[in-house]
Amino acid sequence: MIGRLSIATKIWLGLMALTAVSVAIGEGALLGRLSSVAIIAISAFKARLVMLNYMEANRAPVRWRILYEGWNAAAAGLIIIAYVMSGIPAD
Amino acid sequence: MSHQLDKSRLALNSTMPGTEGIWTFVFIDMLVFLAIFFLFMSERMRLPAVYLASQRQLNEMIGFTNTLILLTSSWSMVEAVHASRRGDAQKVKNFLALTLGLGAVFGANKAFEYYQKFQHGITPASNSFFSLYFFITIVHFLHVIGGMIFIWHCRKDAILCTHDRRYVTQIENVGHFWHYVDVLWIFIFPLLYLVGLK
Repeated sequence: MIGRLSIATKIWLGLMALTAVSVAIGEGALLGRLSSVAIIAISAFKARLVMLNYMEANRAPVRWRILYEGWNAAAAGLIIIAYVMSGIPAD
Repeated sequence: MSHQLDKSRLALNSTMPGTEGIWTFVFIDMLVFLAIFFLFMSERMRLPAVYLASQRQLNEMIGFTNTLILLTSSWSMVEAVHASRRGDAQKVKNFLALTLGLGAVFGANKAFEYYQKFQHGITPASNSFFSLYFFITIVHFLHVIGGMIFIWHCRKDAILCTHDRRYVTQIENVGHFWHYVDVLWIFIFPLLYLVGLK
């Protein structure tokens, strides 16, 4: 049944599922101190799916794909680096 | 029939969806939000206990629901753009109406969330976290409102997709901006509600 869905719909299902996974990881701290890193990595992956498939960056001139993917990596990287550097106090 | 086939071939062969202008505008806006994310994380590093305690007062379920709403509205926006490339004005109107409806629900959730905060005496002046929480989400919400105004205009003109190639470019531009609003929230939701949560 999944095979008959359009690419846009399959990606939507994937985005929804990844969001639920992020919340589960966050709420349950399922990956310990790596939970927050995993959540942001998942966000970057979701953003990339939207950029390439919904914004169609894969059909745009390559400079736009580089800039948009670069922004995605910079946003995720800065949040992860700052989080790791901050040494969140334990409960 | 062949006229519609030619139109869809034209769309597939075009070098990019939308115009250079929208890609440039969105990218500049992205840089502004990158600076805002940097500011937020800097403050978080400066006041880790305040940020952790304040984050726990947020309602993750509202944030989670709003994420699902915006993701679904991005899907309906894609379907509207595809329909415009096929020259199907009715489908364009239907999918844009769905996108607008979802945007309205997002807004209602936001309003309720802010109301809850104010009821608990939490305002933008409460502390650094809540200053940035309100600033980031209000600026994002202004983008949502702007997007909805453009979508509404696109819906009014949907009949143009049956014969005017420029309409397809117009709805691609509006769609591009709406997907950007979605991408922003994809980062804002975990940044405010999930990162560091135990």
